[in-house]
Amino acid sequence: MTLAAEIPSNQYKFSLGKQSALGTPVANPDYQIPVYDADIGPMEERVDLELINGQAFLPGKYKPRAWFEGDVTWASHPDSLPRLLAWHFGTSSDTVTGAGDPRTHTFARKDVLLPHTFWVGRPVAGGTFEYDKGIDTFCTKLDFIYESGQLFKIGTHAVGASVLGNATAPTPTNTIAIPSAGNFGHTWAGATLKLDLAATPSTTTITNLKTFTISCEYPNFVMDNTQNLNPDFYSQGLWSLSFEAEFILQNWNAYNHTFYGTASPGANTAQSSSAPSGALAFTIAQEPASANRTVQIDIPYIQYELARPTPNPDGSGITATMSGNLSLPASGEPITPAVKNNTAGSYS
Amino acid sequence: MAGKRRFYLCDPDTGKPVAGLVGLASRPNNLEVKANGVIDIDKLTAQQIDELERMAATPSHPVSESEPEAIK
Repeated sequence: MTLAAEIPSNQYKFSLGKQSALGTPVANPDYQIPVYDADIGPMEERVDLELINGQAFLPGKYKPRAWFEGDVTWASHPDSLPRLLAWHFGTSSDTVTGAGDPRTHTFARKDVLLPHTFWVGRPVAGGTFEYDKGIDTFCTKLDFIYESGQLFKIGTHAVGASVLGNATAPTPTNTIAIPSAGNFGHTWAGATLKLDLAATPSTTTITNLKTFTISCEYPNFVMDNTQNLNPDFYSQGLWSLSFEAEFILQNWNAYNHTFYGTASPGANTAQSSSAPSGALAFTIAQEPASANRTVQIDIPYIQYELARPTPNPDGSGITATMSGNLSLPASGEPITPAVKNNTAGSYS
Repeated sequence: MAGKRRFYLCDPDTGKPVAGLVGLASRPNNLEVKANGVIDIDKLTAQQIDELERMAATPSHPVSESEPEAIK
């Protein structure tokens, strides 16, 4: 038998391009972006063909539904991150400032979702690719993922109306290159993390977060079918914002804040019914370091709660889960991510 | 003009007026702003001005309703 090569699992390509409208996929992507992991592509539903006709078994299955869906964890690069933010934050969410380098892309969530065309390039033995082309895809969840010792990552969940197989090979307008040496894009090191439990805007710099994830999500997003195999309608539902972090305890302020309503309760204080709003303002640096390539995330109103830690006989330091949920801002936007790069045009 | 609302686009770091594009939910989706930072609201709808107002109420957003130092 002749020895044959298997298809390598690490040579996929992922890219996406902004659509001007639903139903009009673009021919080529704006950005091809490196990923850490991905599980995305065509989806289908199969149901039993429950026909009775004298046989002892069901005769098979059929497909009533087909769509595009999955998860991707992307590298966070200053040039391509605004493409992912526009995908989630919606049509015309990007405000660009600056006449020269750096330009700042500040995002505000809009109600009108921004459809994108999504390509999954599957490797074929011999260094070529075969493409799945997702059409009318929406980013229904976007996570900012920070972990000490790791590069900053962007998690996304996407849902799309349809997908074309063996699609025409695209030519990305921009390909995010991985440098031959050194680190890449936004990173954990050098971050400035400001967090206040009961004050806004945030001014207190903290250093005790081991990890955090900020999630922006349409948790009830659904696509509805009527008379087609692919969806005919979508409903984005409500939008939510949440925060979860591994929090090293240096004092009991967050614990007291959670249960007694204030960081420093007086003697014999009863549990409090109040859930005060705090804030956060995180600035994530780029490696190699550049003040002109940062990403800043501001959440001016967020309700924090610390999960009650438990004693441990091994004597290890106390780390607890700190979570937070969106509270209605007194005015303004609930979250404003801002990315610095040298791209003059709007991403949205 | 007395009483007329004015919105400005400001550099998020320096607070000074700056050129750029303001994202609006309806056309013009990317409203161009000149180097003096003044956002021309004459042709905007009430809904778009509400949108500007919401951005201006966000401390970290570059749209501002207070007059930047460099213009005064």
